[in-house]
Amino acid sequence: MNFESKFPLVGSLSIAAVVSAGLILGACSPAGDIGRSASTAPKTMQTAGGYLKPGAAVRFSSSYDGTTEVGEEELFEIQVVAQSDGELSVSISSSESILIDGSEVEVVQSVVAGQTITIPVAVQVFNAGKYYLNLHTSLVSGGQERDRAFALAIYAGSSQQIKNSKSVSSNKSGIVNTRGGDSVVVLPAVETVTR
Amino acid sequence: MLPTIFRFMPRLFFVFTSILFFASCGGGSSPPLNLDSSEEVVVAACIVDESSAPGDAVFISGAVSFDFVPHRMTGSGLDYDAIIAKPARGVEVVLLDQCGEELKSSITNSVGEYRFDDVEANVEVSVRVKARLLSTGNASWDFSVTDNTNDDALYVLQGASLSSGSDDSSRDFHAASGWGGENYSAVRSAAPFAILDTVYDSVQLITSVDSAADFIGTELRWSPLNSTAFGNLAEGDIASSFYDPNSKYIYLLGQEDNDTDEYDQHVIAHEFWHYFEDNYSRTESIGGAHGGGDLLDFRVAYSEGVGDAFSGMVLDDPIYIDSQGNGQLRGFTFDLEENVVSNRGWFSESSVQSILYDLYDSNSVDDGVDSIDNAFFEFYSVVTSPAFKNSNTLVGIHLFLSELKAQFPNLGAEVDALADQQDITVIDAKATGELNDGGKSAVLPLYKTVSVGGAVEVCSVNDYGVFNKLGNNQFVELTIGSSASYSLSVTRVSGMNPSDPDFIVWKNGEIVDSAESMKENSEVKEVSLTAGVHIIEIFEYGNMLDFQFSGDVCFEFEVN
Repeated sequence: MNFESKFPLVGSLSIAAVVSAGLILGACSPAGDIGRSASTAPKTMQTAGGYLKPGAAVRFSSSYDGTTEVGEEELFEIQVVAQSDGELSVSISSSESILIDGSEVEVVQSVVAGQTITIPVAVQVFNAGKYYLNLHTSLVSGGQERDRAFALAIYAGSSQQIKNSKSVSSNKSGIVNTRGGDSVVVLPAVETVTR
Repeated sequence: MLPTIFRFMPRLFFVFTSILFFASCGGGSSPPLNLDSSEEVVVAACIVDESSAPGDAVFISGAVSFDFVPHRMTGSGLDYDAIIAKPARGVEVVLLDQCGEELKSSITNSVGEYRFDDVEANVEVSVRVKARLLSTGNASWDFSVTDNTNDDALYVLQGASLSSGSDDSSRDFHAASGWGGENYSAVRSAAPFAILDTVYDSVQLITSVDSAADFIGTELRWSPLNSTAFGNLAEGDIASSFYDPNSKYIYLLGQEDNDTDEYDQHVIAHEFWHYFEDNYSRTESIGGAHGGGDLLDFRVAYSEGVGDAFSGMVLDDPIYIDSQGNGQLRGFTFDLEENVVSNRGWFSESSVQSILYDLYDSNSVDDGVDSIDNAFFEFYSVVTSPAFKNSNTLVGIHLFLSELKAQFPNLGAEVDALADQQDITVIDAKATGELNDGGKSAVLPLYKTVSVGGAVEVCSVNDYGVFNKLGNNQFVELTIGSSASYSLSVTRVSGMNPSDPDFIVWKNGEIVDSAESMKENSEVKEVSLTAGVHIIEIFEYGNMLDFQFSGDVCFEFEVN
């Protein structure tokens, strides 16, 4: 993988990772800020649905364009922005049958509020479907540790291929329409009958 | 307490892995439904055989339990070696005929037991356990766990269609966690009932001081596909466990190796608080990322700090735990009893949670200056009081504590001591006399004032972060004498250039109007205002975004 050609801010590949489920992941050491276009959404709209559970005060974004060709290497960048001063650690793995060659991708460094950690990533997927890159962040600030998990959905193949893939349809079993017209998801249980 | 299922000495018992049967017309048994099928099953027209005379009545009873996965004794991960069976309390159980029609309904008691009386003998019936807390009594509620990745369908456990027999019988159910030793290898049937267990505790705490509480029914939407990815809720990309004030639903994470919350009871109770404050109390929180040491917008600090404290009250456990990561083995904890917090003050989630939990806890665990015991009733009374809900200031710790002192004067000295410990001065709801500016003088006074025909300077700053941090938003109190149209204008006077000032007009906690154009360095709008006190929230839009678009900027706010 040649990161220098696509990521001129990054000098060298620090970690290469291989995921057995058909995902190949690589990452480099942190680099500078990556620009992003400003949202034009009004604040009163932005706040709707913007509630988060307690956790590390960090924000996450990526330059992933939302589409990946099966079998082809996809390069993009992940940005984690600290919202407070402290010690920030970021680890990246895949949700799909994780077996990263060597170790997880992990970055640990001191940060100040507003500082962005940029992690170049390479993904290669051999089967169509929807996969996830999982990020686990931990920010120690003011002597208190808070964690926050993020995930990035990777879409490989055409929309029809993705729709038909097991990774998307795996939760569709067990749904039943009732006499009243409602749907229920039937969960398996152990039933013990005593007469 | 072990459910009845483990105390029975059965005369005869059968164990099923639950398979749904739908009897064909005229009775008799039909093949089991293949639950692995991805096709939906539509129940065909079905007629119960009523040709025979009704038989004697029997009763069918049973108990419902589920696997509960606790946290490890040390750290914050889940401990799958310590799974226990817990009773499914307060859930609806229904008896179905062979066509799937509901014949009877029962609610499990505090040990998970249900009972159907007067069931016709010797007819085919099945039992369905709904992931639904239901009460139609003096206090009423209706909370269900649904699957947002499956058309918002309700989760149920379904028993086999069997004869009711000629004697009384029992049918017990147990929902397993699905844990296979190293990962989830089977359907996670216990999860919806684990979620409801915390909701049940939340409801019990509230009804302990409000026996006529009437809860608006809502759904807690959970799926094993619910991940921290941001995207389509119907695909499970929900970003975080959260309460959605628009739909009134609570969404909960469930994706293995990423973040699961069905056993993170504090997280569930925290989100339940957000449901409660939105529907029965009041909040103007703008949400966003928040942490214990952050200097936050005071509305966020209050809402999140109370949510943290409420979770500890519900569980009677001050150690907040949230597991996540590979194998659900990582995560974090914090102690609601901790009084020494960084960046303490009215803008600190940690300060708010410390004060609120000290109100609740008993004298056996008093710490620091805490001398208030068992004051959940007082807390509940204030947050649901008309004075609190109708206050013309925005909701923060000053409003709460000033109302607490006003409504329960006997607690005044103790409340002041708790507030002082967190470097908070409580004279009134408007934070009059507050001296703690968090290191940024521009944030005080909390409410600047302006009159019609006058102007005031305010500064939006990003010293502590963006979007929901201290100083991003400034607040101005404007008292209107007579209803009319007024010109409100915000103009940059110094600092970041160009700027994009915006403002929101509040009255009694409701947004009256807003001006959020992209015009550089000024914002002007004619706004129809009625007599009374309004709060104008003014901010630099760049301070709502990433740091690279943000900066300190001062504006003149003028009313004509």
